[in-house]
Amino acid sequence: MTRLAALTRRELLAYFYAPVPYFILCLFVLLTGNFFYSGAVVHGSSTRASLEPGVVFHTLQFILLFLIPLLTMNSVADERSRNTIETLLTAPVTDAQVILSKWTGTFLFYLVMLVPTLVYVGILRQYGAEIGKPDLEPVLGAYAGCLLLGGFYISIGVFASSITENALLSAFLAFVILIGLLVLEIFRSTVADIGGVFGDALRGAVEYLPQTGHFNEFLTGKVALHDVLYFVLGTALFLFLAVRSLESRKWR
Amino acid sequence: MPAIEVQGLVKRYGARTAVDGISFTIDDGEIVGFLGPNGAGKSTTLRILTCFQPATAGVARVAGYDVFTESVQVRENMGYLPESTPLYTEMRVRDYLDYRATLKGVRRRDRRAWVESAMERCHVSDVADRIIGHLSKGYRQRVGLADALVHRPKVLILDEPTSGLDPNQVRDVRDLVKEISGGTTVLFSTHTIPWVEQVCRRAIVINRGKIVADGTLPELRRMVEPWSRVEFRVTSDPAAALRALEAVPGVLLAENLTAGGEPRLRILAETAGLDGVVSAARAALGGGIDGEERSPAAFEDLFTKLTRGRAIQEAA
Repeated sequence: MTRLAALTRRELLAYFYAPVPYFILCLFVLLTGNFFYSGAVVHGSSTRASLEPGVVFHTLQFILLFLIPLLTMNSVADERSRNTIETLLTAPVTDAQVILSKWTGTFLFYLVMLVPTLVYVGILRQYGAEIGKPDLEPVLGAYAGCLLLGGFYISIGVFASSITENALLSAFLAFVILIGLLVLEIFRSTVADIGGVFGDALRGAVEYLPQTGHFNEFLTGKVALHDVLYFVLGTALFLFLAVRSLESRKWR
Repeated sequence: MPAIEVQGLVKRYGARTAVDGISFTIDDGEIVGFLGPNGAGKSTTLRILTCFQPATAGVARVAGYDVFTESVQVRENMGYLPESTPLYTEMRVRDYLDYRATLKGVRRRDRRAWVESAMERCHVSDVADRIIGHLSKGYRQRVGLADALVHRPKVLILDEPTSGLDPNQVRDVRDLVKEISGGTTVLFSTHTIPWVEQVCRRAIVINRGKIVADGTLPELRRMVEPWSRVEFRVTSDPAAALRALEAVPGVLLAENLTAGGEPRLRILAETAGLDGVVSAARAALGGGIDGEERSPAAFEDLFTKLTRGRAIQEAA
């Protein structure tokens, strides 16, 4: 436990030592602020719907599509390119501890990124009064969704970073996986008429795999077990793959 | 109980065999130089001993633990400085060592004291609060050493600890290794002979994945005693002359020493039949000889002879 804590602490601190994470943090605030302003203040000042957290958080799944890979790109790839992976893995720590600390450290930084968004919620609660305050459940649901979505994206980023020593390539890879999941939806009508077990499987995949549907549920305040499971299992899967990829040095 | 025990170790990368069935034993407290040219299999062997990579076959034990089945115990009892000294350059020296000490399981109440003593032993206390990336290469090397020994391991494994350093820094690190050893077993790899002669009592020479010599320095020096060097100053093309000399029977090793002006070549041969070999060499060179000088073989000749592919085939 001490080791995992030490690893995680270094991981988190590394984000504050480097310039790129600050840039990402600023970009994140700028983008969410923009969507908040255009969604809630400019266009939606008179409608009830504009007060829902979805106004800010709906776009999060797309913003994070770009930002998370930039955040995680260095996590393992950088250890490889600097060869600190050798000092790291010859210390008495397990590969799983290393990957878990990469994920946790990034997740903690992501929490830091989310903090400024509380301002938007505050503004809605304070000044949305004329047309009714936004309910608390959707807000809580939205944050639960944000945590799960972020954790899932980060696990994909860490995995992508674990299979290469080139940080930019790893960012690109994470981006491709994330966008690949997202655009599965466009095949919806294409696979609609395919018969048999194969067709069912395809339809199931197109229906279930994209993150959007699961995430949007949270924004309406509905926290359903199967949506939670989607993110938790997805995160676990990619972390598992990342551990395997780190272990691969042993059977190459 | 030996500190390091290696038996029939093999490492293959696909079709390439990097380490080809090596065996050796290092006793507690020994300082051993692991010599070999680049690509001989030194780093691969050390990576197996440090549990970074598994071997294809064979057994290796460090500090009494098996590197395959008891890898955590091995890593707790072993300090490793990889080649090129990887460090987190954005961290400060003390913070880095404290982090490493935690990873290596140094208890909280000992940590501060052990980090300070590691910094003292490696002479980096004066830069404790500096950022590693701002330090000179010599200092970084010492930070790497401090990291390797911060958890007071029984065995230290150093991979090319002086590569890329200037002569003064090399001397510093060399003295440091002698200093810090005090009871600790040290295995370090290098391709420079003076290092070995000044730091350790024993050397293991590896070439093309195989051990070609293993002994104390006096033993190894004795191997060189029956040999002599003969140096020729030639007037002809040195490259062609070298090929001619290599073909002469009895020549153990031929080297081209030409630097700048006059072409010089040196051969190594048994002192016993030296006259015969020299006249054969003169004949092979034709007329273009300007001078000839005989001297006893030096220790480094052994290394050169053992690690040159052609010389080995000849000896075998």
